[in-house]
This record gives sequence, structure tokens and C-alpha cells, in this order.
Amino acid sequence: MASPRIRRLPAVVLATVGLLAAGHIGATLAYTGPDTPVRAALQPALNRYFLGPLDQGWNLFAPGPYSQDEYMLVRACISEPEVCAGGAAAGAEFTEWRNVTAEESEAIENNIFANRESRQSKVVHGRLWPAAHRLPDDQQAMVAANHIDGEPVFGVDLYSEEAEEIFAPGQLNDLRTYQRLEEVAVGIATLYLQQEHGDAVSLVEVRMLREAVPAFEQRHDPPEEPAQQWTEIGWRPAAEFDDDVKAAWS
Amino acid sequence: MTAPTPVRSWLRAHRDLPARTLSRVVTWFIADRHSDYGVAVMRIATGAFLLGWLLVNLPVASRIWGPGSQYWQPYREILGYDAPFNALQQAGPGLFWLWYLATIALVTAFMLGWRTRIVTPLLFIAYTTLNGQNTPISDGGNYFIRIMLIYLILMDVSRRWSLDARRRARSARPETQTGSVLHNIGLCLVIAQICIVYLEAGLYKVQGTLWQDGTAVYYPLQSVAYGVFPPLADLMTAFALPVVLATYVTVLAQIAFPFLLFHRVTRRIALIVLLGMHLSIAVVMGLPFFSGIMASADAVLVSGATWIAIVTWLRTVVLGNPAARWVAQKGRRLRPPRPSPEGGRSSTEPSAETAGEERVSA
Repeated sequence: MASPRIRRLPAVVLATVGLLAAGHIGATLAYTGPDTPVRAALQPALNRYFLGPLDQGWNLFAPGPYSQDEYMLVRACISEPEVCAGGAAAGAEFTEWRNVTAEESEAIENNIFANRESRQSKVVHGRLWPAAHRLPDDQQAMVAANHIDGEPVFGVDLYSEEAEEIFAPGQLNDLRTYQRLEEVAVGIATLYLQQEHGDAVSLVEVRMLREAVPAFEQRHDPPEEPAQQWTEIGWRPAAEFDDDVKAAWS
Repeated sequence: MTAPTPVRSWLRAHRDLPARTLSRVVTWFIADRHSDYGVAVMRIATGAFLLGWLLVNLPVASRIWGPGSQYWQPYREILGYDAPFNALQQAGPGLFWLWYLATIALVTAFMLGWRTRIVTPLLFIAYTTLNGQNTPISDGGNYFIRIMLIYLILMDVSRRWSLDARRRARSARPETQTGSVLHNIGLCLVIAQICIVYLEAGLYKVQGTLWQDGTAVYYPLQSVAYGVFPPLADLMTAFALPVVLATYVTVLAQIAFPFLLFHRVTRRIALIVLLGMHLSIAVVMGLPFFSGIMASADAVLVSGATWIAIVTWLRTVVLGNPAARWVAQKGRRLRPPRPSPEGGRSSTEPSAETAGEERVSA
């Protein structure tokens, strides 16, 4: 049987869209694949191309599988900010620590159709933890300290010219990334605590906890206390949200 | 005069090989819209899982994607979700719920194969915008379908088993070469993306020491987040052999997947192994939507004849059921019979023998 003849428009479409498709797949391979010199050389261009709706990554449970339990713990000061600043000695009232991840996780047990609310604080933990641990020790100490007057955590506005003079570009990028994720953590902590204590929440404190799953060899005789690691965000002013946000969380 | 060398003889005999190869490639792209039954199954299954995802999360949607997700704003504003994908970032509850319900309607239309040339791009915009509100809460399935929807825009996803197919059968409009070219490029992209996902997931795994020592599968099963049924997880990880086997089979199947596609037999083995892997992840790790969406795409790698055989078997099983037979008879009694132009068989659903038949486009 004779092959059908291709017409002009389909031929142009095949050539152009086919080339674009091949280029896209090549870029996807380079962007999502393991680190190689080719990827390193193309990285800035690949980052621009895959920003937003094309973003993807396929290192599913790899190279290290998910091997710890991640928790986010929050508490609030529910007195006036100036009273909170004086601590318990000044009569400030503090709430108990609340493990919001453990609360969310109750919905997962024996239920494969749990909604995604069951993972809200876990994914905040998952983003903030590596960003915090990329910071050097002195900056991690600044993070753990209290900053209740709204002064910058790292002593300088990270989007000012002064910050660009103080920090190298890579370091400044790490600080900005951390700062955004800290705002996210303080935001969700505020919303959880306002659910319980309303507008009385003036300051919040956040801790991230990782507990290692017992090693495979220890599975029949696990240690009584799992190995723990902490990341702490000191006291911060409660985040401010408009009424629509509060209504969604009420 | 010297005798011609074997290489020269071969080259002379195959002088037209590049032209013949090009002709075969071009013919493949214009002669038919390939894997149309597989694409239909992918559309229906993916649509069903997306619909399930949206409905399961409906009670909490306002907090995880709606105005209640405002706490993610410092992070999401730098992710590159520009207009129209940032339409919900400052939206109030009215616009958000309108958007959410419209997305549910679009997913339903997509699943049923109704006006998919318009519905698929709209669904991509609606779903990606929703997803962009809280990307960290997504799982791999959400990422995967967002990318797949881009490719599906190029494709004729409703050629089979759809409302569009019924309408087309009535109008009998010929298919265009341009449409076939775009469909087949989209199909190549879908298959390439599936291969990339499995290959790279496998390549990353072989770099990990816990995957190398065969114990990786144990760890997520013993975590709170992924050990959905703790007694089942304990049972599955009590002995070393099943853990090592599951770990190694996962890595080997993922890395080998693209290469196993070249032969019919190995392709079937690869698809069955991966389907088993997805089922395990869905049930044991509590990720049914992730697994379902990933497995749905694998449907394009199954031949049309196989899908028709499966559907025929399912019909026999369902219609063999006395209750279903009673419902079908009741329905036939209520509805006047509509004669088919081909004398009994619907023009949109050919038999297994005709499923592989080439349809030369106009």
C-alpha cells in the first residue's frame, strides 16, 4: 500500500512541534536527572525554564528513603506583647506546647483516603528544616533567639543594599529562602493557635522535631527513646491575617 | 578494476534507506492517531482520580488552597506561578469556591470526554492555579498530572469511549493530518515523560546506601506519615527477605522500564510489576491518588486490542451478574431500540480485530 502524502501544514507542524518537543524532553532529562557536569553547566537556564507550572522532580523516596518522623510543635504567649516581653515573672501567660503534626497525623492512621490537611505542618517542616540547616551555626543561633519587636532576625533587612554588601550572593539567597519559610512556619503556627485562643495570641514560638525510625537491624528491639534532632525558632510576633483567612481556619 | 567491498555494496543497495526511514516516520505521524484506546483509559482513570482528590479535599479546600493558605504567600510568590496561574493568591472565598467548583466540573467533563479540545487546556489552567496555591502539599501524582495535562492538550484524548466520539460518529467529519501529527507528538511526550519519571526515580535510588543494602522499603513503612496500617507494616517488614526483594525489584523495575518497552513480552512484564508496585504504594503507604494517577498514564502503553478484550471481559462479568442483567433488560424495555448504521455494532467501538486497523486521515 502506498504511504499517504503529508501536506504542507502538517509537515511544518511536525518539524517545528517535533523539534520543540524533543528539546523539552532533553531539558527535562537534564533538569530532573542526577547531578552531572552537563546539568551544572545548564542549571541557570534550566531553572528559568522550569520555574512555575513546568517545575518537576522525580527523586521519589531517593536517594535516602523517608526515614524519620517529622513534627512541628507550637506555643503562644496570650498576654499583651509588652507583658510577654517580661516573661512569666511579669505575669505573661504561655500556652502548653502543642504538637500540631501529631494531631494532623491521627487522620492518617488506618485511612488511605485522609485529606491533605493531615500533612499541612509536616510539609512546612519538610521545607523549613533543610533551609535552616544550610545556615552556619551563628545564624542558626540568631534563628533560635527571640525577635519580638519585629527587628530583622539576621540584624539587617535582607532586601537592602546593606545586606548585599554584608553577605555573598549565595549566602544571601540562603538567608532569604530561610526567612520566607520562617514566615510560613510562624504563619501556620499563628493560625493553629488562634483557632484555640483567638486574637489573644500575641507571640508564637515554633520547634521542629525529627525522630529517627529505628534502624532495620533494631526493628525487633528498638531503642526506648528514638534519636531526636531539633530546630528552634525563638519567639516571634504573631502573623497578621485578614478576616477571610481567619474565617477559613475558624 | 577492483571488486567492490562489502560495505560499499551494502551502502549502494541501501542508498534510499534515509529516505525510506523518513517516509516511515512521517507515515507513523500522519496515518493514524496511535494508542487511542490507551489514551481513553488514561483520560477516564486520571479524571476519576483527580475528581476523587478534589472531592476528598473539599471539606478542607478553603484552608489548604483557598484564603486559608495565605500563610504560604511569602514562599509561593517566588515560585514563578505568573498570570493566569496566580489568580487565586489574593482571592476571597467567593472566587475561590467558584474556581474550585469549576475545576470539579472541568475534571468531570474531561473524564467523560466532553469537548476535550477546549476542556483540557482550561483544566490545565484551573488545576495548575489551584495546585500553585500550596505546592508543598501536593504529592508526586499532582506534579505528574500537571505536566501530563500540557501534553494532553496536543492530543485527541476523546477519540474513543467518550461523548465527543459519539458526537463525531454522528457528524462523520474526517480527521485532519495536522490533528494526527499533534496527537502523536503528544503521545511521544507522554511516553517519554513516563520513561523519565521511572528511569530517574531508579537512578536516584541506586545512589542511596539504604537502597543498595536492600532495606529502604522498611523505613517509610515504619514512619507515622507513610505507615498507614502499622500492624501490616510490622508484618511486611518482620522478615528480611521480603524487604530486600521489594527494595531491589522497585529499583530494577524503575531503571529497566524504558528498555523493557521495546518488546511486547517484556513490556507486559514491566507494566504488571509496576502496577503491583503502585497498588502496594496506594494501600500500604496510603497514597492512592499518587499511585492511581501514575498508573493511569501507563495505560497508553497497552494496546487497543488488549483494552477492548479487557472491556469485553468486564462487560461479560457485569452483564453476567443477575442484578445487572435485570437492570439492562429493564433499560432496554424502557428505551426504543436505535439501529446502528453498521448493523448492530456501534461505529465508535470497533471489535478487537479492527482495533489495530489504520485510519488514513484526510
